[in-house]
Formats: sequence, structure tokens, C-alpha cells
Amino acid sequence: MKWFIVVMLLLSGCVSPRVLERQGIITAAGFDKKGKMYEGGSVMLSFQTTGSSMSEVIEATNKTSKGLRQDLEAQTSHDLGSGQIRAVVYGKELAEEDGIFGLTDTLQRDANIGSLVYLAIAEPSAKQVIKSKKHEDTPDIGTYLYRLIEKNLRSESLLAATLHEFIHSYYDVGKDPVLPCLSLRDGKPIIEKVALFRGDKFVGTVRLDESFYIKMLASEYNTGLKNITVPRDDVAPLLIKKKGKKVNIVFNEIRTKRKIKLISQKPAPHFRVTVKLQTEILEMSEKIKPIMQANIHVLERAIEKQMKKEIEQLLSKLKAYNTDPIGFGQIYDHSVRRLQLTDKQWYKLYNNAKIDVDVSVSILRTGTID
Amino acid sequence: MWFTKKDRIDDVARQLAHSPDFMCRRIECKGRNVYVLFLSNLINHAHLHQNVLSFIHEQQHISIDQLARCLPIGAVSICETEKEMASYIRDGWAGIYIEKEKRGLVVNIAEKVERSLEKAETESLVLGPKMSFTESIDTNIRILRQNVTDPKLVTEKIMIGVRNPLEVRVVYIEDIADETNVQTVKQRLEELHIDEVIDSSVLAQMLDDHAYTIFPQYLLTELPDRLAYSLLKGRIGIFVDRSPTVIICPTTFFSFFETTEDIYLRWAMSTVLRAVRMLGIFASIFLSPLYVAVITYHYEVIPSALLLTIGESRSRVPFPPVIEALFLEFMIELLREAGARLPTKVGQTMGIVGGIVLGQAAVDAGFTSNVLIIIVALSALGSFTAPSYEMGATIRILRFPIILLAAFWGLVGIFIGVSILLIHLLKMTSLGRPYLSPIYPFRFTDMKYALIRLPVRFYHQRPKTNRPQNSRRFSWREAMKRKDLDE
Repeated sequence: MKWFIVVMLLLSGCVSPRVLERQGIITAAGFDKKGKMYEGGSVMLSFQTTGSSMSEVIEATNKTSKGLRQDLEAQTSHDLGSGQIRAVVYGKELAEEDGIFGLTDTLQRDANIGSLVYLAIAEPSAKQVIKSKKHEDTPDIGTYLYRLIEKNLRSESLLAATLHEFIHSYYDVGKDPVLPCLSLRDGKPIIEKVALFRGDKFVGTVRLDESFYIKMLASEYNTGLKNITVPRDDVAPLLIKKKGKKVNIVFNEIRTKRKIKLISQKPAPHFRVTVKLQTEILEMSEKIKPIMQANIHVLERAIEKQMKKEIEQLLSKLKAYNTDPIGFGQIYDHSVRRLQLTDKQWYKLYNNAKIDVDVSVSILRTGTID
Repeated sequence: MWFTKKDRIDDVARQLAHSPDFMCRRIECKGRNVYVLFLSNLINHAHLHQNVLSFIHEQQHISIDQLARCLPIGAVSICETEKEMASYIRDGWAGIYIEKEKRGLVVNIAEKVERSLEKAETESLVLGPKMSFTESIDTNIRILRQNVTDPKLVTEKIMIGVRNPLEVRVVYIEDIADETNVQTVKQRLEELHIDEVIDSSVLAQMLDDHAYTIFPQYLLTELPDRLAYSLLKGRIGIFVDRSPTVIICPTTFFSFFETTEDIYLRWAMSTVLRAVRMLGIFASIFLSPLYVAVITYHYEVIPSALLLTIGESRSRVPFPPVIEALFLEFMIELLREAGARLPTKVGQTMGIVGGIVLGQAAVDAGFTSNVLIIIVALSALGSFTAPSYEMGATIRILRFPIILLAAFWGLVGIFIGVSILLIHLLKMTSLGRPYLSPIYPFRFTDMKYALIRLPVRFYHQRPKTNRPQNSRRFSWREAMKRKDLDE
């Protein structure tokens, strides 16, 4: 016991305290490219003794991210603490030209930073997003971005990545990361698109309704609502009026089973994607006849056809960007024996890969009243 | 040896340290002098007049043997020596000498002072019997015998104390209580060569397995029904004269957190109540250390919704979190101690002044943060949920070293504290029986006696922790049967 007390007293100097109110708590950080330097900004939360707390953006320019940190430290009386960081935003230009792995890697190595930090790409620059004053009821922009991304990830078709997931897909052969792409509308950051990557480099974006399919194929997450536009002819037997060209259908995904299978390797990899979707119809743009057991399959087939078309379009778009967020490469790697797939090999194969899409939709209900 | 009557009476008086209330009444009866000796402060005078003095007066023929046979008094004894007689007189008996007789006689006409039976105060209950033990061992044994009519109830008498002898009664049910336990208790009591024991709580400390631990090892209760329940489950009780609390042994850690109310209430309620109590105790030990550790070292783990609230209230405080926490804990302890020492009426005012005025003022003055006030108040409340006063006090003290550990090493420190505590508890025994039972050694069937409650039909066996000689209480099969009229 006495030794314990001695050790306790001796070792107590070894830990440096980081008292909460002495910290300038960073809730969000943004990085942009400025010539050969990084331009970085941090949202710092400082507690006020009277009135409500303030968040402040401090900026610096340096060659490395830790160098940036030093420059930022020079601008505040608090110790900058990154333990509460919620979102890290990278400028589109930076992500496109230099890639962001170098910056994410330092985040990953910092023990203070949790690996569940959300990453995002900002258009046109991270600085503008970070400096936005419009953050609803949240005390600072970092918390706002965190809640924005989290909510859209949970219930909508956004594909988002935490730091951990980003690093994981980056290192994984045959799978590319995706990040949400933030843009400003009336000075307020919103999510409009999803950014696609090859390795750690930004290659392009897809719309949120397209990312529905990526999310559906790549993950088990619930993807939320989907609006689909089908040609009038496909659903003609159901319609009352005969005019117009397109019909909009909004449905909600209830349960999805997806399966991607490599059916042949040569001459080029050939995949079959099977999606079994159970949905409920929420809204249609036109009046229709009562849906019965007999005619519901008309609707189902129409949706299937349109979805198949859209998925194929998306896949060719992804191929054009030469990015593989769904992870066909992983499946290829798993399915072929004695293969050490490298990224280089895979991109070559991926370009020629043939992907069959097979969608089957079953409508479980058409609104909860029946 | 034959002394003159004068010598004998002087000798007795000397034995009684020439107490000014020592009286010697001489009665002349049939030409023989009869001397009645007593301490006038200790006896019942009416009793003396009616049953002793007038009785002797009416006798035709008088001798010690005849008196011993005929006196209308329950407890009568013949004494050979003056020393023996003096010790009886000291207990409030009256001594009788008859001229020219060698031996003396003592009769019990003592009137002991005791308070009447009252409601239990330290272990107050909402439901169930409310009577509590008093300071008289005779009354206490009487209460026990009313509660436990089992013919196998044993109440063994052991005298402790050389200078100030004290009657101690070891009570147990002969065919339930474990023999080894009974032997251990008796042996430990008999081996106590000590001048005096002041109270049962002191005796409990003398019987301890571990002298240096801060945890109490024996349960002290003032509730007869709790003692009866423990005896019937195979435990041993120790009554101590002049003490209103009874020692129950062997005791486990968890029995300090149960009340008799748990048994009286329905199973679901008492399970929840026990859970609440355990949570309260846990919060009481760990909330303030957690606050200190998190604010000092680990601001990362604060949820973002709380970050601002905590940060804003902390930014006004000029001290490091550990000083802040110790200051507030000290204040609460001060309030508690002041409240306990003051009369009830003043105590209430103290509570209000201390709780509301001081707390509010401390926050306004920027001495402490709001959040910490809540935390400290919560942990103080938590410590009072321990039904045993001793355990409650232990838990309040336990918090301080853990706060210090948290201040030195953060969360790591708290876990070191927890580990040390756990190792200590695992090693502890009470009367040689594991203290942490039924968790360690793990006894699944005893869980219903310690952590949760089940419907009464599941209590068909006595807890194995107590090692009862006979563990069967009733037939499980019969209890599970439906009992309807139409069967």
C-alpha cells in the first residue's frame, strides 16, 4: 500500500492534464490547396463566462498539416484540442490534384481523434464551408456538419464515410472510397452530391438519387425513399388518363437483398448483380386504378425495368470515372483462387468487366391504410 | 471461617467501594437479627418492602435454607463468600444475612432502567414490523423469542470483560446454522481477554477477520424481524447487553444493501429497488471521480450536446477540477455531519441553508460549476440509499481516494482504483466465509437472495452462502401446483 502511494505520487507528473476550459476545442477542420501549400482552417469553440458560447474560425497556411496546427496555435490563447473534432472537410481542388490520404493519415495517427470523424469534400472550397455562419440551432458549424451528414446517412440515400471507413476502403484492393460532397446554397452548407474517388483522389460526383444505387449495392444500410420515373407505356394498364409521357413513382425501401456474383473470369470478369427489393409505394404522380393482386405486377415490372436501366447507366458512369465504390474488385479478389490482386491490375480488368443486372421488385403494400 | 456480623457487612461494603447508597437494614425476627443489604439506587423499593422485608417479618422460624425455599421471588441464590454477594448486590440484588449463619442469600429485586420499545430509526421501513431492539438484553431476548418460536433456537450466554463484565448471547437455530460458524463465533468470543466492551459495534470490530479494511464485516441491525429472518436462513446473531443493535454473522457484501422491505414487497418492486440502490451506490462512488477525470484529461468523451453546458459552467471556476470536486464533497460531508450532530429542528434548517443557499451561492460566486453540484448531490443521495449506515459511511469515504486517483491519472486511475477495490473485496472474508458471495464464489441459486428477488415460491432452499445444515424450506413441487377449489 505504501508503495502504491509512492508510485502514485511519483507518476502523477507523467500525465499532462488537459482541462476542458483551457482547451480551444476544434469541432471541424477544413483543408484547401493554395499553390504548393495547404491552407487550413479550424472551427474553435471557446466558452464564454457570460452569455452563449462562441465559435471562431482560425486559419493558417503551411506545408504540412501539423505545421498548420503550429501556426493555428500561435493565434489563440487556448490549447488547441482536436479531441472533439466532428467533421473534416477537404476542398475539391485539393482532393482532385493531391489526394487526401496524406491528411487523413495524420488524423488516423492522432490518438485524440476518434476514427468516427466524418470526412467530406467541399465545393468550391473547404474554407467557404467552414466559414459559413448558417448552422441552424447548433452552436457551431462542426456540430452542424456532423448532424447533417449523420442524419442523411441514417435515413437517406447518402453514402458517407467516417475516417475509419475511408482509410479502410483506401487500403482495400478493389474498392474505392466515397465521401459526401458539400456545397453552399445561400451560404448554408448542404449535401447535393456524392464524391467519387479513385484511391484518395477525387474523380467526380454523382447525384444523390444515383448514390441510392451505390448505397443499395455496396452496403446493408437502409436507403430511404426513391423517386423513379417510368415511361407511360409500361404502366398503361393501370392508368385512368391517357395523356402525358412519364409517370413518377415514389417508393420506400423496406428490405433489400443483394447479391453480386462473379460468373466467369475470362476473357473479362463477368458479374451478375441480383437485387431483390421489397418496397411500399408512397406516391404516384397520376391517378390510377385500384391496385389489385392481379395488376400489381405491372407496376413491379415497370419499376424493375427502370431500375435496371438506371443501375446500368450508373455502372457505366462509374466505369467512365474508373472508380469502383461498390467493390466489384473485392468480390473478384475473393472469388478467384490464388490471386493477389493489385489496384493496377484491377482497374485494367474493371474497364472491360461485364456486369449483368437483375432486379426483382415486390410491392408489399401501397400505403399503410390498406 | 466465621466472622462477626459486623465484619461481614463491612467486608461487603468494602467490596462495593463504600458506595453512599449502600444500605444495611436490620430486622429483628424471633430474637435473631436479619440483615438485608442492597444498593438503594438499583432496586425496586416496593418489591423490597412487599416481598422481602414483610415476608421475613412474618416468618415463624427463620433460616437461610428456609428463606431460599419460601421467598416469593423468582431469582434466589445462596452465596458462600462476601465477594460473590457484593457482585450480586452490584447488579441490584439484595443480600440477606441471618445472625449465626455462615452463608448468605441473594434475591433479585433489581429494577433496571431502560427505554420503552420504539420504532426503528436508523433502519426505518415503510412496510413491515417497525419495532426495534432496546438497550436491555432481557427485553431483546424476549422480543427474539416472540419472533422465533422454533424450539431449536439456542441462546448461549458468554460473559466478556474482566473489569466490566458484559453478557453476550450467541443465538442461532441449532439444526440450521453451520456448526463451524457457531464454533468460530464462540471461540472468538471466548478468546477475548479484555477489560470491557462498550457496545455491540465495538464487539463486532473485535471479531473482524480483517482489521485494516474500511468495509464493515458484520451486519448490525436493530430490527427483530431482520434478525429472525437471518437466523432462519442459517446465520448467527450476537446480542450484547446494553446495546440496541445485534450483530449478524457471517455477512456478505450484498447483505449490506438489502432491507427487510425487499422481502416484504412483491418481487418485481424489490428487484427494481435493489437495482436502484446498486446503481445509486455505483454512482455515489464513481460519478465525481468520473467528472474529475473527464474534465481534467478526457474532454473527448463528453457528448457534443453536453460540451457547451459543461464548458460554460467550468469556464467560470478558477480551480482545477479536483480542487473543485474535493471542495464540494467536503461541503456536503460538512452539511451531513452538522445535520447529524444538531437537534432535528435545527438540522432541517441547516439542510436548507447548506443545500440551497450555499450551493446556489457557490455557483454564482464561480466556486463550482452547476454540473458538479448536480453530480455531488447525486452521489451524496446515492450513498444514503445504502440501508446500512456503516456501509453508507464506507462508501462516502471510498469516493475520496478515487477522486485523487482520477486527478492524478484520469480514467486509468479510476480503473486502477476499481481493480484494487475488487481485489480487496475478493480477498475479504467475514467469519472465514467469502465476503463477495454469491458473485465469488459464484452461486447461481443464491442470486435470488442477493441481487434480485423472485416470486416467493422460488425460495424453497436456504442460501448456500450460509452453509445451512438443512437447506430445505418447503417442497418445490407442491408450491408449483395450482391450488384451486375444484381439484
